[in-house]
Amino acid sequence: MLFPYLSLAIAMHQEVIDGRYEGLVHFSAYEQPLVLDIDHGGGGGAMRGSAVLPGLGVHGAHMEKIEVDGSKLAFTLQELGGISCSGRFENGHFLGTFIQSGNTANFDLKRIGPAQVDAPIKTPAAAFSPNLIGTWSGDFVFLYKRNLTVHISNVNGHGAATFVVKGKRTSTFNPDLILQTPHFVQLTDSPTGITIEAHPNSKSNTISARVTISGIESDVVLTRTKESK
Amino acid sequence: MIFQALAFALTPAKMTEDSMFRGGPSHPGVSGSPAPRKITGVKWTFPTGDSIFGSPVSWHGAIYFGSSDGNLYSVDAQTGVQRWKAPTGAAVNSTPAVWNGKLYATSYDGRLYCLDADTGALQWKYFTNGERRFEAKGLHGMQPLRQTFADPMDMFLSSPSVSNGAVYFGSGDGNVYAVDAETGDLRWKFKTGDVVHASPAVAGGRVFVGSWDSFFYALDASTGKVVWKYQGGTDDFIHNQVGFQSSPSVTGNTVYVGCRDSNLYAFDAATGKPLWKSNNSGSWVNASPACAGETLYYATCDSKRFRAVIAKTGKDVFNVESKGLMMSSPVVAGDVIVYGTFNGFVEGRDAKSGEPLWNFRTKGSEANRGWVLKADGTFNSGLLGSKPFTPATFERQFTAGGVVSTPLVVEGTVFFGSLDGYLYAIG
Repeated sequence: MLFPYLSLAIAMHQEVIDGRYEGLVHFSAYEQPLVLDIDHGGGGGAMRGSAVLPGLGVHGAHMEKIEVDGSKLAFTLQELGGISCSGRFENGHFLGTFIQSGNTANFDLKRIGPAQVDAPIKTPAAAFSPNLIGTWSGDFVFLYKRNLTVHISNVNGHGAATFVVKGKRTSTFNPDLILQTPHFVQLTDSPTGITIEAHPNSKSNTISARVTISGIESDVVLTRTKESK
Repeated sequence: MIFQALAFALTPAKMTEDSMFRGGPSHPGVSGSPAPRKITGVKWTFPTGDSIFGSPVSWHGAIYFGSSDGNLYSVDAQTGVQRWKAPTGAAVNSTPAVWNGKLYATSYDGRLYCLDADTGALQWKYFTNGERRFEAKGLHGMQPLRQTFADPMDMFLSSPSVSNGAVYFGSGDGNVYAVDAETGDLRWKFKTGDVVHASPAVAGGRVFVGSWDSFFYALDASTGKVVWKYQGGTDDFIHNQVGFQSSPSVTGNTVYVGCRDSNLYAFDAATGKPLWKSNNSGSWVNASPACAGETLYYATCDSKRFRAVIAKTGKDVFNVESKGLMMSSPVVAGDVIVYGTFNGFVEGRDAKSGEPLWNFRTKGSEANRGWVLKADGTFNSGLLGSKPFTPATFERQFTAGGVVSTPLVVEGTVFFGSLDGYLYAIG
């Protein structure tokens, strides 16, 4: 009988902590709005969260290195240059400290409603259209002429792709984000940020693609390789 | 000519849904839902990462809008809880259009996005030749005079209009595009002489849109060929009094559009013949007009005038001062007109008399983070007008929690975005 009470106690505790918290970070020169979303929707009911900083271009920055100790919580926002926060939950508020590159500011956030934690975009479980299956290749210019080869296939009914950029050296990428519809394909390699956005042209049996490397965009027309025809 | 006149006469004067900029492809600016004559306060707010320039639209119980944080959002209209968020590559300073279950929006990354409106799942992107703001040497008299400046007040992207299975929009690359709504294939594009950031109005088989090249165009909606064009004012000195930033509104056989040359124009939609113009002594007319019945409503920029004129003649019905300069376009919702101001107010006025009914001030305006507003909420022009006049003069004004978004009215609730980064639902 102990376990049911324990899980009830945990559930009640989660209910108190989970939520959307909104308030101000009191920097010395101005006050910055901050919104935190916290819930237990992570794997195995783990705590997860995300942050919004209106005015700073930040929406859905994911909490990492989350540490919970009773009513205390600490985490970092790694994608924002390692901002860290720590604080405690008290009477519907989350009170704490915001640390950014050695600058420290206090915040007082009030629970205003249910959590709206932003989940990262994942590759949907969908297969490529048959007309896209195969190997496609074309040249583009990024500082100098390079070649792009894209391999598109379906594995166990799910779309899979790799792409190879050949310049002075050859690099192979296994994109971790694959988005595709009959009219569009996007392949993103998150570690490098290299993205291929492609629009199939059914009349010419080509693919018009845009390659983005380091924020610089280059257009390329991909045709089927001889081996793939 | 009889058929043309008939086609324009069939154009609905009142929008049937609020799923597109200004309420539909002809941009009537008239809501199907009345606005409250008094408000009690905030129903909910939704934070985004950066300023909201575009306007919210509604469809199937959701509110859709874009933010300068680069995302498109769908939130529940009743609760303000996020339904989905979809990233683009840059600021979404445009108003999305929802049509046939798909959402269309432009982004500063130079792409037109098509998403599933229910889920936010990407359907396709169409690549333009890239975005840019209107720019000119010594623009608006900014120092140094020989420097080319991007216009800080060219703040909106072209919002798509969807009609007959085509998505029509303008681009910083100077083109007006017609793209197949289902596949994203190009139907046609028409090259103007400069940036096109107004939203095209589509009615009677024509696409009406102005460009920063000083011309206002009527294009054939099927081919993109010019039917007629009209040149507004030009300004070779500081390029301040040139360009159509305002999006047109088509009612019956008349097209109404504002211009930076300080006029509000009325054209015969079939022929392009100017019918009348309403002048504002140098003050821009950047917001889009709204036509309800026999009255046309429009807002001016720095002269802060909110005007109602007789739609047929342009003669004044009323001409009142608002709480701030206006880039936000008015919406007529029942017997109330609602619009936003650049210093962070949303005002409700009686549509017949122009008398103020209520006003609401955003959090960003209250916070006055850049110390640009006086205690009464008006801009401290002395402080802002100190010389030299530079881009920073404009940028500081953007810290005032302004409302440049066109308010949306649904079932008695007024929705709008603010430069403070929040979407508001008030009522």
